[in-house]
Amino acid sequence: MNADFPVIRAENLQKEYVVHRRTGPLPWQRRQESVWALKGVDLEIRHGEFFGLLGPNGAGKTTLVKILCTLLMPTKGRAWVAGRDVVMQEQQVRRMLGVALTGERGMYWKLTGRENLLYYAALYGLASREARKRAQTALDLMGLSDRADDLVEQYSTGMRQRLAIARSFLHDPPLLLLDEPTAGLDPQAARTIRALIVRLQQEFSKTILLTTHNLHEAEQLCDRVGILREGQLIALGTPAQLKRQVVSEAVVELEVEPKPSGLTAALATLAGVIRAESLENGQVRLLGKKDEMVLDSILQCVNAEGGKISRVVLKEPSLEDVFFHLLSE
Amino acid sequence: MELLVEARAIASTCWKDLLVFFRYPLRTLSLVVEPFLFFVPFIIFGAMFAQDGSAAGLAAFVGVADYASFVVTGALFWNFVSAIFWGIGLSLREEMVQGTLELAWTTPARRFSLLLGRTVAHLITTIITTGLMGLGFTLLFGYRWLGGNLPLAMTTLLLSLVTLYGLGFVFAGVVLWLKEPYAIANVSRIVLGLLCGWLYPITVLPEWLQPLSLALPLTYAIDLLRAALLGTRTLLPLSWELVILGFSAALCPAVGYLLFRWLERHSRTSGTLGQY
Amino acid sequence: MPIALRSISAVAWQNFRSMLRYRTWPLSWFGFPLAMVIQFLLATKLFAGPHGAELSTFASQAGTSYALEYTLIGLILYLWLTNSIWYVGMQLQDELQVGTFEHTYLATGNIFYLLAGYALANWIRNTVALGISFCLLAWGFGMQLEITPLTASLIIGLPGLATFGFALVFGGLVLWFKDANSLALLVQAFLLLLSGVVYPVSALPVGLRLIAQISPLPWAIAVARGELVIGLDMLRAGEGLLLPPLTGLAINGVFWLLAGMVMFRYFARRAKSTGGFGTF
Repeated sequence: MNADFPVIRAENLQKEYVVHRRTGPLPWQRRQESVWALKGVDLEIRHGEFFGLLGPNGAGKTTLVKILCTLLMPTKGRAWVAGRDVVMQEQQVRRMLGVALTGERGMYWKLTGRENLLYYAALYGLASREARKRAQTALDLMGLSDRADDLVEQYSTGMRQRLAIARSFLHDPPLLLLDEPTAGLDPQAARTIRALIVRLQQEFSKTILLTTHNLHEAEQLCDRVGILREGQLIALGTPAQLKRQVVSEAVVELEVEPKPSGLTAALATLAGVIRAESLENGQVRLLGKKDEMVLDSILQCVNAEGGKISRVVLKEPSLEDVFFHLLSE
Repeated sequence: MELLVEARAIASTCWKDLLVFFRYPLRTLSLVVEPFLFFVPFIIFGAMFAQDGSAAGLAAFVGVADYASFVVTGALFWNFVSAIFWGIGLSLREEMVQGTLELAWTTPARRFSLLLGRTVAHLITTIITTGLMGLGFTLLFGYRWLGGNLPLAMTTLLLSLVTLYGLGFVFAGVVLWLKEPYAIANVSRIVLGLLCGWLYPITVLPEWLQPLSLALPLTYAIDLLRAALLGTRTLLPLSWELVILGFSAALCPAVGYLLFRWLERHSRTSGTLGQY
Repeated sequence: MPIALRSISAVAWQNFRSMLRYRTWPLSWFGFPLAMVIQFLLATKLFAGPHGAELSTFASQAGTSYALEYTLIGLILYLWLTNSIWYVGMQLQDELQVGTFEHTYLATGNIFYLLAGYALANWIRNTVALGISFCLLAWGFGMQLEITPLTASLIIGLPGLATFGFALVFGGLVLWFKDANSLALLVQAFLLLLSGVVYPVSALPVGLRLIAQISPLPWAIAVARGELVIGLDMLRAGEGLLLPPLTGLAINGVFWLLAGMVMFRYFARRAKSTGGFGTF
């Protein structure tokens, strides 16, 4: 598949849910209201890309993922997976993608890990011998071979999550949709899952759409990220682009020995400084405009006040800063 | 090739359902024991009105005095009804809660294959549990079914099962559509239990209720089954009842499946497929 | 008001209100009891024959030809008891799962206040739901029953202690068994079979009759039928005939109440030592 070819394309994708709100205790005392979970999302994800979809709860991430995997029909707009329309060609779309939805759900607890995989392999139309081979490969890759014939009810949360990912690429689809694959896992298990996902993308050149709450995870894994807020895509780009695009402020932390009493107030008057504050550990933290705050004038100011700088730390905003900045706008 | 792929999906769904069924041995046992125990009091109750195993009151209504076989035939039929009518839908609901339904729905396998595989597995387990109950009744209460018109009984049973699966598809659709299907299951269970006449001929119902009973295909199914196995009098001429049942067997699955597809589509629009 | 009463009534009131918050409450209060009893009553009409010719056969075994009344009383009391025995345990399990149990327990300090509160709420529900169902059915099927408020309260009140004790024991079982629903259905089926609900216990083989007597249900049914159907007057002439079921009920009540209390004390101690109160 051509690297420039969009594996996912969405145009003005909208989804309306109709909800009934109670207005009184009687069954007929209710009002119909519409809630727009997606308000016109345009998106393109290219072949081989690792794309992260971020957003607070209720932003529309799961709605978008479910429309893409044909579990939900859009109200307006269109979307294509590998060039196939998710409404008109749902059968072909389903062949193109592997899905791992959130949490421990989605497995038969009274079947073994292998039996679960063989069942889904059959639904994907794999012949029995091929299915066995693929299931074994997937189990090996996910480090589940030695527990493959235990019932899923005996698995830990992390193992179930690995099994869910194993199932998602069983039929070798070009696209994987992973909905919060590390939610609820301990740091060790989450790290294992992340490493496995990266391996999948690099070794098997999958396109991956990942939704997550974990901003650190998104920054670490994703080539590009999109931030959804109230059904709208409010930012889109590489993590570095987003940081540049959104934050024009910088943070400077100073350690001053001895620290003169009027220093913080004096620093606050400097050009470009938005806020100056004394931290509990004795440091002074300055938030200022990146282009206007000049380190030289800060040094002069400290000297003039009779202090001596022992340490300066310049801080870059993280994706988390970008996220909160955008959400607070 | 496409057919082979779908056949594989059907067989695999069926196999998976059977595996899960037999991995809950206690549940399987209780599916046989509980209904059996619930139906026995009805037989002993019949015995209260009988002398030397013969119930004259029953004979006056239906032309046959063997109360035990009368009750057992109805009980076994009712077991089929409750397993099929509500069973498929409630097992779908279980999968919605488990989260496995959504994932099966993301695979390219056709909805029809997923439903058919499940239906076949369900039919096998229902025949096993109902058969075991029938065996118990035959050994303990001398249930006499071998002397009847078995070809007619088999035909009736086959047509009834096809009709029931059609109705079961509708209920399965309702389960996908509504988040709380139990209220509807319970209401329909109460209404059908009272109206289809599994325990009594519908002639003992108040007259104003009888037309409602006559509108249900299941009323004819149980009436025909009793006539075939025990020789009871039928409500309408036997051939008429057979035609009505045949007609409903032809209609119900098609209509049921179309309604299921429509409700499934509706649930994908309203977003209730993954909710429970 | 003494603290015990205040706690019990507070638990009962909270519980009763929650019951009515489920939209389908009329269905579980009235739908099921009516459907089940109507099926048996129609079967009674069927077996009795078009003009009730076989009622004499019934009378020769049951001691009365009032088959409809006989069946109705048995079934209503059956529903009453089966409703009661699981209710306490199910509520407890529910509170444990939701996480409200520990707080309520700390606030009342005595687990029996809590259990009695649940039982009281359920007792009110049964009185209303089954009382109304009983009257509707008696009227709908044209039965001849003369009930005074005194006999009605005696019939409802007498098995109260035994039922509460029985409920405590089964409530405890609910907390042990994961699959409480299957267990409940199984016990309900056994009670219907063994307690002489729609036929006299004498219709069962001797071994089964003895098993039947360990539950309060056959005794309660015998008292109610003796009073209402067979035409005895418990307060005046009937001591001779009603004495056995009343004694049976009393012994049953003491036994189950003690057994229930022992069971719950054990449960509470075990939970406190293993820290299992909040972990269900």
